[in-house]
Amino acid sequence: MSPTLRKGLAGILSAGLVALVLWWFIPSEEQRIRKVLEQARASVSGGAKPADGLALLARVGQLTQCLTRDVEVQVDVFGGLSGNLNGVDEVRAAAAGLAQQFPALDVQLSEIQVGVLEPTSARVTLVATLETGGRNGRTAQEFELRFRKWEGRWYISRVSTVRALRSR
Amino acid sequence: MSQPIDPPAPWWQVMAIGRNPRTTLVRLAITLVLVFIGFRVSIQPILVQGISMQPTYKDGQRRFLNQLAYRFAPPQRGDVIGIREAGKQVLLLKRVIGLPGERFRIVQGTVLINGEPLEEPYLLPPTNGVRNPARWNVPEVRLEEGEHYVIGDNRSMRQDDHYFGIVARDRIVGRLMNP
Repeated sequence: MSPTLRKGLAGILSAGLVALVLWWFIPSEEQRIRKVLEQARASVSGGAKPADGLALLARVGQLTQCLTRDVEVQVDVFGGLSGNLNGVDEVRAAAAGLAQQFPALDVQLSEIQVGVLEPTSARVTLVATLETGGRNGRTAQEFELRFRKWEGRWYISRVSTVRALRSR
Repeated sequence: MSQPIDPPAPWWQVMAIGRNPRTTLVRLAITLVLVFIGFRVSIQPILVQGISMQPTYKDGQRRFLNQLAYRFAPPQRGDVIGIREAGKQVLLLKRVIGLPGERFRIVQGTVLINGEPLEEPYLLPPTNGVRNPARWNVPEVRLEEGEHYVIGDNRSMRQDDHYFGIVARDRIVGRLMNP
């Protein structure tokens, strides 16, 4: 094997290795979105013991870091909660109220599906299981989330409940 | 020179694990795996909760869904189906009333399909002065391809308290096996 060919092969191998390392260590867009979801989930879930005011503020602050300023939340659960929240301030107030009402709230996300993934927007569906700690305090709800990418980071811009049955 | 012959296994051992225990074990393992896969793929156990399917199904009853029922044939009117409400674990149990392409309407409790009244033998006859079905009214809708209209059997409920409507085909998990 000639030295030139050897050098060329070594170069190709090195480039392949670098690409593999980058692929391994640099998260994909879907992984970044899932990370934001996990941060939001953790901030909504309470701990085993009741949080003090400061911890509560920190948690709510962590949640708002995942949201766009003009975030929209549309909740419509048959026979249950329904209403809209517009803007990060309304969501912050609602999250603080929720945390005070259900200090032991545990939220688990499952069946996360990143459906439409475009350069600056994404649509995700998931099932959130909420456990409030009380008797019969477990409920599951499907949500659709819209994400928007801004300055290299993904933010939740819209959250809406999904109902299986609908009228026209 | 003759070989020494092993004494025959006792009858209870043959009954319990066969003449060749290793083969029996392999057969048992294969059977268990096949049964497990079969159940996972085709059957889903469900626990009925709520009153929307009364009197046909009552709160607390256990039933099974055949998840392969609609693999090769579409849902039929009158089928009781499981609908994915929140993930794979939370299902709704409803009866198929309207099929794709049909015009659906309820007038004073009577279901009209393409303008014709639908006979619904699964509904309870009126008792103690309580009319069943109650006087529900739903304006006409035309069901598109892949859409079915589903309602629970308990039509004596108030219309606003009953969760019913149009469901997309891809949310239908299967048909109830033991109606």
